[in-house]
Amino acid sequence: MRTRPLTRVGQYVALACYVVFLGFPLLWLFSTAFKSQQELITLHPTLFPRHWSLDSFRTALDNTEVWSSLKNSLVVAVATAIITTLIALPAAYALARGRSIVRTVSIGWILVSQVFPFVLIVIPVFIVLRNLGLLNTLVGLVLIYVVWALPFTLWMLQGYVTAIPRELEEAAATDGASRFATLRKIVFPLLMPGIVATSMFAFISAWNEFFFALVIITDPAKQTAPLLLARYVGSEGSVNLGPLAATALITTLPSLLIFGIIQRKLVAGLMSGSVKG
Amino acid sequence: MKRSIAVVGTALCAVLLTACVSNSGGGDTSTSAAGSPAAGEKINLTFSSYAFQDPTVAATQAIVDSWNKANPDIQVQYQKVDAESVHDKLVTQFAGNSAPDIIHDESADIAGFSQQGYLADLGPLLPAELKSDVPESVWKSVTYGGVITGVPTIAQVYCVFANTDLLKAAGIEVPAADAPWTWDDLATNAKKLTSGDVTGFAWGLKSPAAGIMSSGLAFDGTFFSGDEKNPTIKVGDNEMQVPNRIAAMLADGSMGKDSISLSGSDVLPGFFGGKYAMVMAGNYVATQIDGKAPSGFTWTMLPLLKGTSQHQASNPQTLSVAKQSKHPQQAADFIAYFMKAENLAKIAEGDALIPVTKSAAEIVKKDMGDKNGWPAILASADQLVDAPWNKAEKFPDWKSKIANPSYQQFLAGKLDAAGLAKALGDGWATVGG
Amino acid sequence: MAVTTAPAPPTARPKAKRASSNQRPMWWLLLPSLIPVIAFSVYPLLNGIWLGFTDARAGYQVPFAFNGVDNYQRLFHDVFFWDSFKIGLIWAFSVTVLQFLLSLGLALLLNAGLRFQWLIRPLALIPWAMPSVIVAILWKLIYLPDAGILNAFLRGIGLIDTNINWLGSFNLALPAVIVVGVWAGMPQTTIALLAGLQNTSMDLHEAAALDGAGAWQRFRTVTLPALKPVIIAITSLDFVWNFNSFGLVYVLTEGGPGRSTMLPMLFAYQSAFGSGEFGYAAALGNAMVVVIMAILGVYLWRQMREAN
Repeated sequence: MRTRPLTRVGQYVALACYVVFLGFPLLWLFSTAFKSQQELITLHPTLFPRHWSLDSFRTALDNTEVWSSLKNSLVVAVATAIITTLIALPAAYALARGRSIVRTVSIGWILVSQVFPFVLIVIPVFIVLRNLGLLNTLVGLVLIYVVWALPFTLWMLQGYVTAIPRELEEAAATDGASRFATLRKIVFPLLMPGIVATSMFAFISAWNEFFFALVIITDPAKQTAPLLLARYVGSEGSVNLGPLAATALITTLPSLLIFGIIQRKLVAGLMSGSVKG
Repeated sequence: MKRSIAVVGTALCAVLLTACVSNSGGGDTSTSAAGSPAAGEKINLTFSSYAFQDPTVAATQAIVDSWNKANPDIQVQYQKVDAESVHDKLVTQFAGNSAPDIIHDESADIAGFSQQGYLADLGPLLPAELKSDVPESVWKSVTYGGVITGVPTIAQVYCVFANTDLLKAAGIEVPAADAPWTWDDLATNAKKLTSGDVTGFAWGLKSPAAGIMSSGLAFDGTFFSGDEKNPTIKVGDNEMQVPNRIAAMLADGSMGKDSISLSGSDVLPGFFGGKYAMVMAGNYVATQIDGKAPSGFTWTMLPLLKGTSQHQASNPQTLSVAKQSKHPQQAADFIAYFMKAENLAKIAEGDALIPVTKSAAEIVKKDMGDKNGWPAILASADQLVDAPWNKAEKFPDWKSKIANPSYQQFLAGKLDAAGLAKALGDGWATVGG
Repeated sequence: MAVTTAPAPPTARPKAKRASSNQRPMWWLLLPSLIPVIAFSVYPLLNGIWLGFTDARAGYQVPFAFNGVDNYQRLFHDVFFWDSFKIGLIWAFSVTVLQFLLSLGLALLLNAGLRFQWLIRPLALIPWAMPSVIVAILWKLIYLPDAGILNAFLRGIGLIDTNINWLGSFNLALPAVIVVGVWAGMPQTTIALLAGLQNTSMDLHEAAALDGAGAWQRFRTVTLPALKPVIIAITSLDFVWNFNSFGLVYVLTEGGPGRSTMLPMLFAYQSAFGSGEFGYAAALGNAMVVVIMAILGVYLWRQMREAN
């Protein structure tokens, strides 16, 4: 299968267009973060700062809450990713191999939970958390994010499990391996790429979530990064743009870095699952 | 074994569910976020504030710190929230019976919460000298059904910011405080200033209702009358004065067409770049001009525009106490402390807003001097009147569903004046007003 | 592993019987996820659905009661709701379709064995990595009529003479926010499709190539059918997510100008949080669930039928 040179050139041009479309806002964020106060409000914006300035970063980092909020976000996102995966894994296995009625009910729940307007869920969730004494705690936030990420995670993971031939497990069982050993030695390794992919999804959804964090967290020391970012936005559309851009850039880079590192696994992982999903 | 796990699990779910359901009414009186009620013990109060500018946040923190130092038995915890989310957070917290004790909000927003019964009556809790320090008209704008539910702190007015170099070049003098421009003067001068690349006037009217209706009070455009909770609407000549004048300026090109879809401070690039000679905005924009204008840029705020009067709607920021609070008196004491002249002055200066107490205004006047037109703006607290729509129950609904879209259609030329008046009037019935 | 002797429930169809052989030890695997799901998802969902049949409102110690279909009668006559519903459908359909087509193109390119994939794959995930708080603000800045970089660029290459007021124009506001919506949702779609592409067997392609099929024909007869399950899964999810999204549009336009970008979810949000009409807002949510499920049902059913 050779591709003609002309087609190749066309492909690269198209790819470049995509990169510009998808990447431009990040470039703009980058450039905004390095512009001086005066350059931020100008009638003739330039793609790159005329004078590179670190003022916005200084203001942003002067705020000690930047580090605590980044730490909180990281703790919450990592905990969400791990817990989601741990509880979704057995459930996905049961769903994939289990009885059809459980499957039907679960799929029904997965769909309804995605379709029902999320703003109407906030208050009941808030009341449940209050009754459990989990308001203003990161634990409460993690619990909600876990449930929030579960439908998608379950959906994909049960697809990966379905993709693993039953015969593999049965063969292990006839060899006398216990059920647990079968799961650990045969199923788990095969699921690894899928686990990476779904935990990434759980991570990013917790990392970026705003509304639940807004209503649940009141103590400034416990707030997550999106809450801190929102505080750079005033009423009537006035924005403290420089520090906002600098802080946003600081919170964007970690997730991009992680994407860069695990992108191979991410793609390989999604591969088997989504087909069955 | 497995069976027992299952049974325990099911039981757990059931318990959890009952716990949830039995408490879901939203109106029960169980534990709130406040601290212990026992006498002689330390009292913890929570105070949520949406202070935005860095100096204001610092001033708020300083007030809280000094209070905590002076009152070891009544500790206040400062919770920060962003301005756009205050309302959503409060709705949820009120419904979940977990609101902060002391609530920073604004008059227009606490109207709804007051009617829903979420805010404590502050009348008996406030010291007399505070009551006499704030103009009666401003107190009226935080009194709902005879009950004061918020203490007004700082207020904004819509004022014209002018590029003084461009004014000078066109031979236009900056008006004195006792001889303010009328809306006619604004139109004449905007036309005079419009030439070549310069447009005379601009106004970021992305959410047009608030600014247009507030300015309309200068022409006695009251819109509503009758019962304060369920008033009747009338859109007549007075109400149409400001929209018609804006439309005329848009038509003759002395007002920037692009500006009307921007939010309040997005007109600043054009103002700094000399594209707009004058812009209308909330006076808080002064802080942004101070920090971000190109060097050499000279500007001033003009005294409030005059119609038949200089009235604008009073919509001050407020401090309230939640009815769910267990320590209303202590919370009110903190508010009184917050309102002390030297405290409130710092808050006002940080946000470049107008303190509503006379004592704080004196301090700000001294600190600000007479540059950039500050004296006239500081004096305008007296021009703030309680808008007749402030307490109308269906007003927020009408404003978002009817008024803003209709004004937008009018400004874009999709509705004529008669059409706008009809849409505004009929819309009141549509939302059940 | 002990084989259970318990007979399958009488209602179970024959197909389920085989699976039920390892049923018993299986279902406690669901338990860890069941408890949080019931507390934080099923219960709030049921609560929300129930509220839709009551007159619940915000208020201190305000009782509420069952009011049957009153909310739905009111909803039926609410012209603003129906207007917003129409806009919501236009929004959700266009965003989903454009998202799908663009993502498919990108996924095909990323699968074509070009260089720099290690660099471009993470770049394709940029919209995912940026905090949603700043995304809308950045796009608003890009779209600004006189100080925005988009108009500056278009002026620079001579495409326009006068600035275009992207978000302020009645005709352009909806398309402009749709572009942002497409941008924001591309990562998950691209990744899912790319994964599906990598899974379609190379052998099939090569066989088709030997048969002399052109690139387009190979795509149509080999790639597309193999990709179909992924396409159905991701487009239906995208559709639901898009229909339910409103944060982006809220910051960009607040539903304006003149209601031209008033999405139904914005409407529900205003009813619940703006007016405190929890019951009515929940009824609105219920109505949306019914309509969206119906649309999805038709879509999925048609796809299944074609597949058979």
